[in-house]
Amino acid sequence: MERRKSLWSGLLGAMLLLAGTATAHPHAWIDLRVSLLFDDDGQLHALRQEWAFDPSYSQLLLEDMDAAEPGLDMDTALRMMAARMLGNLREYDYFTEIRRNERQLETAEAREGELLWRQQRLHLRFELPLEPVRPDRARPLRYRVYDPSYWIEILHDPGDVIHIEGAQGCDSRLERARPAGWLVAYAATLNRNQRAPVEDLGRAFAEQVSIQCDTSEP
Amino acid sequence: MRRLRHACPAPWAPRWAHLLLLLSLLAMPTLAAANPFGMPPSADAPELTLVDRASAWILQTQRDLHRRLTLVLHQLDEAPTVRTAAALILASFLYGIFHAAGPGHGKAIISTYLLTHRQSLARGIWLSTLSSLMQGVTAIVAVLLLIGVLGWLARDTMGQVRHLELASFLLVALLGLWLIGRALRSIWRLWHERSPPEAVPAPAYADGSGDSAGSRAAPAFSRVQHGTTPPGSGMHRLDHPETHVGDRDCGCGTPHHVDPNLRGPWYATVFAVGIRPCSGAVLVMAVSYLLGIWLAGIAAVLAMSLGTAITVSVLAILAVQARDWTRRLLRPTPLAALRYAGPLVGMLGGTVIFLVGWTLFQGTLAVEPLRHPLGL
Repeated sequence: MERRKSLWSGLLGAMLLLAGTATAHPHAWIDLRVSLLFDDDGQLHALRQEWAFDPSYSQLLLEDMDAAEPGLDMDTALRMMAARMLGNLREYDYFTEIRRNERQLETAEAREGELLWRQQRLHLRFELPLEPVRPDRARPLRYRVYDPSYWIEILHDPGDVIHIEGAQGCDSRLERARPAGWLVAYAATLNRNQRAPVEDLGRAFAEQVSIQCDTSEP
Repeated sequence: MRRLRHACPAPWAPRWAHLLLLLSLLAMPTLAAANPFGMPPSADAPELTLVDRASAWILQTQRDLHRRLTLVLHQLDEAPTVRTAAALILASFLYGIFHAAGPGHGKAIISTYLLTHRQSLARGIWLSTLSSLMQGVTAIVAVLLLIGVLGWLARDTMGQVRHLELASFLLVALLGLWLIGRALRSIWRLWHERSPPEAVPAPAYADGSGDSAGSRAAPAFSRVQHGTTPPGSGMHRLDHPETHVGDRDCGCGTPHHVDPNLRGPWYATVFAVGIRPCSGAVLVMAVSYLLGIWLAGIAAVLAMSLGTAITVSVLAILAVQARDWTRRLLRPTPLAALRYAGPLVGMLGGTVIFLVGWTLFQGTLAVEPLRHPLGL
């Protein structure tokens, strides 16, 4: 009895030395703000995005940064981190999928990237240049911004609108995701360290925005 | 108590409904764990079914609660008021309730165990409550130890989840093997005690490991009580500790009843499930530690575990009831008279638990730790 007891408590102690967590996907969230930039000819030429990381994730990122580069002043550190993030995101097309006529458009390298610390949250800003295009009513432009692994959930900030800058007669429509029940349950089984074996799991949970403009030029 | 419940079956539920519930309960853990790492069925769902809508609702509620919990935690850091603290605890509690409403290996293990091994309702509820609370305590202790004492980074601490998970899954697999072993031992005993020297009616120890509380208190019921009783039920009920005395006269002629081992699977289940920290609890704990409000973190994690305990307890009640219903349903049939039915059901449960644990263990072992492009 005693031996068993000490065995159990020894085992318990050993287990506690190895710590961790387990949460269902997603584990963090980003509030997304988008501005659609049109040029003088009424062509859409860039997507400006601002990602507001949730406060906890922001806190963890700051701690990491502080540990990696101790003693760095905030501005320099934020600049370094922005460059690193955007560098990593490059091969994921900045988590942005843009389609027209079911054809995926190429995304170029992001520009004007910066990271800001505001109201206990990190805000990543960047501009995604596009080949200029006038999305008409018949052939709207559609975009989705999502983390393919669904580790982070990216949704448009409910307190914000999609800004259309420099164009008349254009509007946008946001469509919520309608993931199937089994997918929701499936995502719930994925834990923190797991990469979803499902290609593009996050896409099923992503909002889709379509942009359309009147064909007659303003 | 149990007999009382047997005597008054719920009038609102037809018999087939019981069976259906049992089947779905049985299927649930298996489905939840059946394909945790493989590809789920592909193809886009064209129509949203009721299940889809319910899932969407749960997802939305979880999302809202998760956000509220995070935001309130950071509000508390900015302006520590009693009101914010209360809001944090409430949000954590609700998050615990809802978060536990999804699939999870802990629930799969607990419901499988309770479905295939006879337990009193109280024991089933205790099992769920203690394992949920232990998950919370593990999270608290782990964070205080690793971040607070050893000075680890929060992210590293959370990354170490793998080891704790692996341990949990391995223990679950071992628990399954143990249950299989116990069932086999019961079968072996039943086989050898068909003509025992003692003049004790065979059904009295049909459960092999001997639920002496029932068999001695009311020998007349022993056949009914033990007809389909699996081996795991050998645990003495908490409310009858005094029945340990004189266990030997149950007819088995072996001293195994004094073995504390009899409570083993119950404790083992609590432990195997509980060493995997509560969902989200480590994150909340780690962040509140970083923010310097770790007391609030502890309160939040405990509230969360309590919420989880409630949801898992409901599942446990369903499992225990489903088992009782089935036993009642099968009583008039010749199936109830089968002496091996109990151990066989126990063996089935052990096999499911083993498979769940082993699949998850292998899967976790095979998975490469994630590096997120937005991490550092």
